[in-house]
Amino acid sequence: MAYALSISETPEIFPRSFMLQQKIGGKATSFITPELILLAEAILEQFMPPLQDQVKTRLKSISKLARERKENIRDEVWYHAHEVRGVAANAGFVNLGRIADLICKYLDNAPSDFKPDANLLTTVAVAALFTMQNENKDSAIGEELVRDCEIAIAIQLASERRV
Amino acid sequence: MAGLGSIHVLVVDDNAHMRSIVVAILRGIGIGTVKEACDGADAFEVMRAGVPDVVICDLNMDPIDGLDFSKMVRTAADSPFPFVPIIMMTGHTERSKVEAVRDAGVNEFLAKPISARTLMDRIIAVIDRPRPFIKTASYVGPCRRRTNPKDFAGPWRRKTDDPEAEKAKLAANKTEKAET
Repeated sequence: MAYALSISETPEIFPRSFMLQQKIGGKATSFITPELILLAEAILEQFMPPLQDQVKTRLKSISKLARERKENIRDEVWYHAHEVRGVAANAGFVNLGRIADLICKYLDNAPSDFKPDANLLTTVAVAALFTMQNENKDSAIGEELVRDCEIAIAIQLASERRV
Repeated sequence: MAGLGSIHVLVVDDNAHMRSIVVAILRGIGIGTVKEACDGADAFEVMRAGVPDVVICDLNMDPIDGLDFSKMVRTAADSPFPFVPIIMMTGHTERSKVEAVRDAGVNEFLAKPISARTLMDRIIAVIDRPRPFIKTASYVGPCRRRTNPKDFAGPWRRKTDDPEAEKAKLAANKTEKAET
């Protein structure tokens, strides 16, 4: 059953609904206790080391795909970079996320049969890996690497006449 | 079945890792049904199969992003449930993005990196602190005013507002306060 809302000029105000409280049988705070939050934090912690391994694997795949010069790799490379961007955001790796975003931007609007520049992608992938490993130690290095990657990608886009 | 086990949550994210983290946390705390979708279109299909109680959605998705998905849920003629609470996750915390998310009819905003505590806080917010639902020509979603200050004296922004009545109410409140 659809509850379509017709859009009219007259504003309608629907009162607050405590339907979810009724469904769970009380306030959410009585179920989501500090102990439950600690459990949730522990679950989240379990994901962190595997996430970093995933990032490493994906960054290596990006440079490997670019070096192999196979056909139709654009989508695969973009997807790896997109995943790294998402993982970085969740893991709090700001600079890693920005570099992954730059790879995505380099490939955005490129056709599926586009062959990305192997040198550029390998260099940027290494910079991303280095940034992740140093993210918590020295953010200045990471920020500098992000700026360098931005310049490198801007130059590459210009040389490919894709600006 | 009462408690968190009776809740149905839909997690929408095109990033498989991110999705798996959120799903693991939700299942870990005992949410009864946790479904997944990889983008807005997929989510719409999943919603048609069974309306969730809460939707947790990522902003950056392809081809239908979180903003378009939220607008679809709120306004599409074939929306399974326009009132469903939506929690939007994103790494973009610029003011313009936050405002765009708010104006798309999203209930709660969850900045990445997410922590279990912030995720739980947003779930608590949509369950324990629901807001009136507003439908106007330009906006459909939860009321964007989170506070209702007693000394608010306009400007009046809804066509149905009656400034004179509101001013009289305000004056009465002030008098009552002064007397007490």
